[in-house]
Amino acid sequence: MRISRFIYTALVPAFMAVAFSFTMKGQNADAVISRINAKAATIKTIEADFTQEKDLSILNDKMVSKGKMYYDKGMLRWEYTSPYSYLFIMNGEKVLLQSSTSTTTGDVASNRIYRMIARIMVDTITGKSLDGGGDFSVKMETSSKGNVAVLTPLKREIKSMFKEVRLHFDESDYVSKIELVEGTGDKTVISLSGVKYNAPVSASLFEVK
Amino acid sequence: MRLFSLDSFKFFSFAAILSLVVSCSAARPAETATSSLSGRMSWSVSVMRGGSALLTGLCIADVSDIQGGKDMKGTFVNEFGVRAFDFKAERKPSGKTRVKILSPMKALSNPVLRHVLGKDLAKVFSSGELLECAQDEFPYRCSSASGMEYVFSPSAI
Repeated sequence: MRISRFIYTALVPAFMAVAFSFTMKGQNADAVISRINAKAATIKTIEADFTQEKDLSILNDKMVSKGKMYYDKGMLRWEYTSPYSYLFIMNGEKVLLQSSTSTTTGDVASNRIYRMIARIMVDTITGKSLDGGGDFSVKMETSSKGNVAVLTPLKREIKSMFKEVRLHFDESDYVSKIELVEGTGDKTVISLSGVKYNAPVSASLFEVK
Repeated sequence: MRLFSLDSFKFFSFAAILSLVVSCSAARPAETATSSLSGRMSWSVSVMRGGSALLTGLCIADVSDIQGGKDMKGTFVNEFGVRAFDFKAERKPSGKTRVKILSPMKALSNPVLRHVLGKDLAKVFSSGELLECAQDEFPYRCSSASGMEYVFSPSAI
């Protein structure tokens, strides 16, 4: 009897965890994607803190960076504050890359790569990347922890850097975590916290001089 | 995307490491590394031309003392965490430094490129100044024959 109780209490939850972690197909996946797309369409602004953990497998370690991001109607400000200073701004017309030692600006209109990267960053942060924009193929997974969109790059430039992007959604269908998986298996995980949606964001945050 | 298109790599950094294919000479006479320099070290790296930075990124490495020489293993990534490549630098019994480029991003995976990149990084890493600058406030500068300058600035990462 004792063994039976062990089997029940130990194995049943394990079985349930496996049974309820699966790839959604067909109508279920479409319904979840539609719901997420609908939520993404309501997002006009985002303000959030982020923590980025990058696997450094050769050093058996991780590099942890922190910063703050702002999004407003297609404009993005992504700023690392610790342990290094680095600022990226894309305001629809101009791009700014600023480190502690240098500043680079460029025109979005004249640079296809800038446009693509800015679009992908914005679409993954908001969840709009699920709407079939041609950058990724999308597969939905669900588990007890929530829905995960597994994005496989279609474009060569992104494929060369990542084999997969995993977007984790919270119970409100907002993006809570982004996993960037390299071909070697090393990951960069970006977690959002203190997220404010549709709060006023100052236009000065996106100025590129 | 052209391999040598700098614009294409500005987001991802270190394609300009390609310019290390030309020989690299230290800006100052080489000094012997102090035997106490070992452990985790990190630098912000800028690739400069004409006084302007073309690309920036980070180099993080573990340095270990091996029989009086220095071995290093580490990685070059950009600030977004996109890796250009990992590396291992070994001091041979002859005193020469050999650098192996590991897990390069696709654009740097050409075997000839990896070989030449390894040879030029060997010149950078063989100088004790790079390790000393990780402990001090001054940057380590290395100029190449093509007019590019590589600046390693100590950075706590």
